[in-house]
Amino acid sequence: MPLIRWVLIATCLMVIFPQLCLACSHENTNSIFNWARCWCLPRFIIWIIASVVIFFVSHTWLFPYLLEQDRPNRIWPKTAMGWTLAIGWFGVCLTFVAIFGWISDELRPTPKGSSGLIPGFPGLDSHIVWIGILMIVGLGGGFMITRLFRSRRGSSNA
Amino acid sequence: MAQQNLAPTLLIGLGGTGKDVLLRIRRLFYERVGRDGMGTLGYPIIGYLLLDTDEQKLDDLAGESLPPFVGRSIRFTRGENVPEAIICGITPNEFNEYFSGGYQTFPHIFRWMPSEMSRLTSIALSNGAGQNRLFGRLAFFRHYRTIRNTIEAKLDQLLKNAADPTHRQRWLPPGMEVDLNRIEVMIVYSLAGGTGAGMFLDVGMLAREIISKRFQGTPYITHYAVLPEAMTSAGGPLISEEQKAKVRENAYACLLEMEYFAQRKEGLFDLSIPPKPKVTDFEGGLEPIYEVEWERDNPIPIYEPPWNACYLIGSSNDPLVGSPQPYHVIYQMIAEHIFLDFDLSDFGREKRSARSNLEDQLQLLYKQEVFDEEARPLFPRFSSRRFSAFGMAQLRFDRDRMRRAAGHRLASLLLKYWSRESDLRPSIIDQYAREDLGIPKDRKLATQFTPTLLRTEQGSDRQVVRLAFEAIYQRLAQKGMSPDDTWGNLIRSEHQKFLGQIESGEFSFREDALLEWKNRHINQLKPTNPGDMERAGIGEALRTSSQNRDRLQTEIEGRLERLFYHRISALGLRDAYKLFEQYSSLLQEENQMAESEQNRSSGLTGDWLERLREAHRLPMGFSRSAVRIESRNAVNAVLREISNYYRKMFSGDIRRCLGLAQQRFTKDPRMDGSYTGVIMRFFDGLKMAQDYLEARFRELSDRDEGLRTAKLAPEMISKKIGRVTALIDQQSEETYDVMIAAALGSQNINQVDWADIESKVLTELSSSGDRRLGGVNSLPDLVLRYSPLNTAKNAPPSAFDEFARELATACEAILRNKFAGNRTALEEYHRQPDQDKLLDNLRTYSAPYLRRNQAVNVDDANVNTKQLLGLARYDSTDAQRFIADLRRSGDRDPLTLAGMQPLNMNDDAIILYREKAGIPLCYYAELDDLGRLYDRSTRIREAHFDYAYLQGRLPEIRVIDRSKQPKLINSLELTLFGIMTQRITCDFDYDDQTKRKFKFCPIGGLEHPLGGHLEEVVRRLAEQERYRNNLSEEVVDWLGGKGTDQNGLLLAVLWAALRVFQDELLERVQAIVDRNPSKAERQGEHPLLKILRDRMIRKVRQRLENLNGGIDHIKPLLEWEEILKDRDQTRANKQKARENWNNYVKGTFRLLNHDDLPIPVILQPNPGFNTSIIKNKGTVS
Repeated sequence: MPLIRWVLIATCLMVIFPQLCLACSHENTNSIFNWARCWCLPRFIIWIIASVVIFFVSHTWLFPYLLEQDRPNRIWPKTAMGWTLAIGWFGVCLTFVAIFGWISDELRPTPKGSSGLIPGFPGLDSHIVWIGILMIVGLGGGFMITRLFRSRRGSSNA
Repeated sequence: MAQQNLAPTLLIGLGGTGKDVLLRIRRLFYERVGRDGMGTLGYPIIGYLLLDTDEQKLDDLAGESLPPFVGRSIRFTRGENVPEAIICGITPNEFNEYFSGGYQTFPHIFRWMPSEMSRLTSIALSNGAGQNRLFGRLAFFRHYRTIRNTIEAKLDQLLKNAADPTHRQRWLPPGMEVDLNRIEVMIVYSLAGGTGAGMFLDVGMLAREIISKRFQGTPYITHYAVLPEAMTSAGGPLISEEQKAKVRENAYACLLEMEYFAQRKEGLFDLSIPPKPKVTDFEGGLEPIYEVEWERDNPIPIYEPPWNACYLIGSSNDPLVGSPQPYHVIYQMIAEHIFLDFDLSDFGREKRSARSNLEDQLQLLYKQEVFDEEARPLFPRFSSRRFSAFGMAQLRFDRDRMRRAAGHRLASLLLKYWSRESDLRPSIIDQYAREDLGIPKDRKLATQFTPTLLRTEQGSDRQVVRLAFEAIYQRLAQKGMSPDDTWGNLIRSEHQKFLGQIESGEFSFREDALLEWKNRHINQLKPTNPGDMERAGIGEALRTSSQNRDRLQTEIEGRLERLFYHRISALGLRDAYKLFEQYSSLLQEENQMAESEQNRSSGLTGDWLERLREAHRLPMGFSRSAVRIESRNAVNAVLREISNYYRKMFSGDIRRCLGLAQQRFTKDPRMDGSYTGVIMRFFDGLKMAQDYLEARFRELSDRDEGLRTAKLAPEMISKKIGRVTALIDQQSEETYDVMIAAALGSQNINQVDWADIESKVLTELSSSGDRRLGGVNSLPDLVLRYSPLNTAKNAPPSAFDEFARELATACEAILRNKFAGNRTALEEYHRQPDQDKLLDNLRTYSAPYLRRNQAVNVDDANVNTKQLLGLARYDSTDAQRFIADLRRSGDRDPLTLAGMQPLNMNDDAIILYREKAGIPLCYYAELDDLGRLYDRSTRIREAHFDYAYLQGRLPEIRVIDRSKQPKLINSLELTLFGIMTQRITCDFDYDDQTKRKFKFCPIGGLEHPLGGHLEEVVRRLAEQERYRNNLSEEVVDWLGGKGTDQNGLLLAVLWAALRVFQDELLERVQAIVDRNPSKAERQGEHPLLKILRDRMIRKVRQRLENLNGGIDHIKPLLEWEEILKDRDQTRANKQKARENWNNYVKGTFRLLNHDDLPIPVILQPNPGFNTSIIKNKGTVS
């Protein structure tokens, strides 16, 4: 259920911000299954699968790991949950940038090198904005989540 | 010949000499026999008593400096119920009290004490009697009651010890008996000083009186009187001539008194005026020799002399003439003489027998003939022979002492082994300490750590009490009797149960279950009465903890004790000490941990409940895993809370347990109950014991050398000259070590198996009679006996001395029969290069130490000489060869060794002992010199112990000088004539009739004092030819001049006076004859009567007969005498004749006194004498 909730949220965001989705540089490719097409389905599928894996790992490994830490300031359960979600959210964002940016060459370095905003990454000159926005969203969203799911007891001495 | 057994013996020393000899006897016993189980030096039938007026230097020996430990061991006990020394001092106040009270208050003292003695300072009495005999006697009177009580108590104790068969078994060898019917008292003193010379007669009389009245046994009293020459010779303690003269006068006075007590003088005739008979004499009662009044109004008659045997000891003997021995050598000889009286060999037995077997000799009299001018025997003079002399010399190497020295050396080495330095590294010490206490370096491993030490000892590590915090906590938390049934285990099992439920999913979130679990345990701990933890209201767990603590403390005590025993046995004292120091550090850390646990907050406010609730509220799948995790964490948190609470609540008890353990290892020596302190203190004690043993060893190993070298010139040492000749030179420590190692079967001392020696020594010690050492099995046992755990004080230093002695004895026992066992004195003698010299030495120095007056007839005086030669197995070939050599060497000696009796004794010495018994005083060569000083003395009254009683009773003791004797008789005659004709006058002190002053008053010349008593006047005239001639002229003038006036009227008066004097003497002699008819018969006519009749009366009568009408003056008297002599005359006629006689001479002379000097002194004849002659002429029919 929480995964579905997140997928819906992402879909809504894409509808609300179509420019962002149209930022892809290979608009001439019409097939939705064409990998080279910017918003092709395989990329979405991979991204969704990666997001599921990330959240699964966070829930089954990271969350107990945080709770079971035997240390003076042991983390409280709700805080641990917040940290788990935040890390998951950031992972999803990072995965999105990686899949959509790297595979579309924006994050792929050119063999000969080139000048520009970031040497060696000429694609970034035109996409740095949305990548930056996505990273901010990932970090900011994660921070928001930790603030949102935080135990009011704070750290424990138990 | 009677074989003399040992008898209970009280040794009494008087004055400085007595003290010195007694200390030497104690040293001999200490060196050769040791103390018995009851603390007596020697045997329990020997008692000691010193009476001295000088408190200073009471523990010093003359001529030697005693090591302090020896001094401590042999010194006299004072101030106890039955002291060994009584200081008979008199304070200046007491002194003044006596003299201000005088005769009125102290008649029993001022009967004999001249009041003018108060002139001498009383300070002299607080530091000794200062050669004043009367002060010595005054001191005895002052302390009489104490002395008497002490002697009685000592004799009581000695008899009790002697009669107790269990005591006898401890020291008396089989076959030896103690004679309970005989009580010996030996009194040692010098005739030269004040204290001994002042009280020896009283002490002798008192000892006899006490034994006769209070005890069943027969008293046998032996005196050892040291003659003054030892003191006055060069090198003696007296330096000033005045002191020397004083002690010589004292000594002569003593000898006179001894002779008086030795024979009943009233039974003997000599030139003195016999005493006036008492009324009792005629009733057949025995007159006492003396009447002593030690306490006022309690006179005690004395009938017997105050000794049975009396040894006179000079400073040299006949062979040693010109070489007087130092006085301390003489003291040592006396000490050895007395010591050998307790020797258990044949020699000792025979020596004891000699004294009593020779007693008959002491009853004989020594007879000397007195001749007149014409060499006709005038009368026989008898002297007592109640005196003896002895000499003793030895060749020895003293194996017993060497063995004792070796015992001390071995004991000293063993102590060094016990005190050896540590060789363990600190890391090893730390490892041992952690193993012992169960404190691992890595604390997390604490529960797995199991010390092996006690597991092997106890058989089960369940009983191990580890001293780490956790270990103690586990033991305190024990709930039931089973070691597994602990509060900790219960909590852990419940904890596991909860965890199991969580893992299996059975445990859903139930905070009440956890709360119930927690509260149940907290309630077990919570005091129901928080203000009083010790009362019954405390929680169950705490109550069991307190009970466990009590049990645990006992276990800890036991555990620590076992550690103490184990570690000292395994590591030795030094390492064990270091280990215990490490224990202390580790335990301090544990205690700090317990303290921090105790100070920690209770920790009961954990947040596990809120966390659980929050986990439950989490969304989605987070809730399930968070609840499971938080449940597990909550169970662990509650477990920690409970555990911490338990630890906190138990930490008080834990600290007590740790505190107890810490206390056992604290380094503060002021704290009692510390094993560390025990070892520290024991080291101190060991040091004392070590000092004792080393010094004792040196003393023992030096003694032969010391005896040989003391006060001898180097050339004498090299020639081995001395009374005691050491056969083995001084042995060094190294030599002793080699001999000890050989006796123990090792190559050298470093290879000795000390653990084995320790074990053997401890076995020996455990069987010793010492109270502290009984049952000692190990070194730790020994440590705890002398440095007890429950006190911060060691056993007293004397106990460590005693321990050292016992240790030395134990070591000696280990060396017994192995150390120097193959050496004998005889073998050592045969190894000596200068055997002839040694034999000469033995013979020379063993001659009796009383030089003979050459004028004394040898055949008469040497009545009985006992010569004993003590050596081992005297019938062996070697011994017979030695005896033959000795006899051969003695052929050249005037004091032959014929009759010498060889006897068996210890094989480490060869002793030649020679005793002469039955010696008259005149035998003593120095006597004439002493007498001469005495005659000239102006303090004769002070020189005698009771001059008021003795004057006139004192006998002549010097040998008769045939060249002077006629002069003596002539002088006596002259003296009597002189007194009667008032040529010699006598002034009396009317307050004290004993004070007299005879003076010769020549016509127109100066007065010459002649002495204080008649015998003195006679002797002085005999010696002073000028006086004698002057007096003779005066008397002859009187007899031929004034006496012949009126037809010899004064001569007639003189004749009558002589007759009256003769009658008085007759009456007195008759009383003597009546009392002692046999003695009188043996002696014939009384010499004074003979002189009166044959010389004086006859001379005067001849002169009267030669005068015209001279005889007429006495004719009536002659006629009345005829009536008195006529047996046929009636009694009335005789009475009438006596009255006429008396009336006739009445007023013509007076007697000097009616008691001791009934000598008539001619007055001017009253007219009646002449008239009576005329009137009575012819009327007598």
